Amino acid sequence: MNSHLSEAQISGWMVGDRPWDLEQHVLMCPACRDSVTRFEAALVQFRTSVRQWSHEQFDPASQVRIGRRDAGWWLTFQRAYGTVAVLAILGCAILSLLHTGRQAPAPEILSADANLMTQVHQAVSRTVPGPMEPLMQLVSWDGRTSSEPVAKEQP
Amino acid sequence: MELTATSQLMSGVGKEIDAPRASAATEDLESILRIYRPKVFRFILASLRDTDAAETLTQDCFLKAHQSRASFRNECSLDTWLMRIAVNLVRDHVRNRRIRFWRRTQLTARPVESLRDWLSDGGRSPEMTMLLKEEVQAVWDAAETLSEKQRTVFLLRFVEDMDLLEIAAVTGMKEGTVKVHLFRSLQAIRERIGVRQ
Repeated sequence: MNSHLSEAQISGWMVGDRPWDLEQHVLMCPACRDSVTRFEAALVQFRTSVRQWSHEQFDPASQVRIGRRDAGWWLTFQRAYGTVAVLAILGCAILSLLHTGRQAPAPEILSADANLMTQVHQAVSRTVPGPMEPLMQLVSWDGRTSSEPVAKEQP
Repeated sequence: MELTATSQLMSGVGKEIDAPRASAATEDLESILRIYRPKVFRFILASLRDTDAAETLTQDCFLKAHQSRASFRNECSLDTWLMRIAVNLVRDHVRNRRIRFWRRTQLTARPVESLRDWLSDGGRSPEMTMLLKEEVQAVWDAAETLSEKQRTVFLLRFVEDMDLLEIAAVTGMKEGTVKVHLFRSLQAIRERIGVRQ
């Protein structure tokens, strides 16, 4: 093996793929040995750093609670309570709207409604439309005009 | 000693335990927590980089172990069994992270940006220390970009110092699959270190 280790070979070396010729090359080649050693050192330092960091973050005083956890039902209770509260608010709002709809209307609205009803009543009570009413003065259903006085019948 | 304690703890499953045995089981449980809790916490912390989430999931891990202790049949070591639970919890947490944004743990999360400050100089020269810090940071940054499986395998191998068979037992993968994930994670990290250099 004449060329240096490739990136894949170095990764394979770290995984444990170390065929005989590769081992011989690493032993003989200072550059490849340095590459492998540096990568190994970086990983070892990484492990040391993670362990140190974890050790600092670890709180041995925090208790592991084995058994029924209160947080679960408390959270459920909180959610249920919140849902009920929201539903109650919505119910109140709907009831309020319905109640507002049933309240007596204002006097001016009543007056306008009464006027409108009067107009409707007058319009419906007419036998002919308003513009034709003058004609009705001229026409009589028994052959006379309504304006002509009824003549006395001859004996 | 650990396995004896575990066996005693597990033997009480489904049986009426009298007071002295219950007390012994509690002591065993405490010894298990004392021994394994730092390791489980470390793995979860390194996976999630969130101290609060790590504490919560560590608690969940032991709670789950306690609840499912009936399923523990000494087919693997207690260490492997607990780490398997931890790996599953981390996986579920990562998958549900987006829909769990409202959780209190997320509100108080203390994410870690850098690992380089946790490297002691160890009597090295300032230049060498600086170089190592850069490389440690590069490994840390690269580990964040790995897929969940690759990161898990990488952390179990290079932080928890497990061999491939142990990792396979913990993750439920085949040894060959573990090797592939580890190889790819190392490739990604090599690339990252190369970019830095």
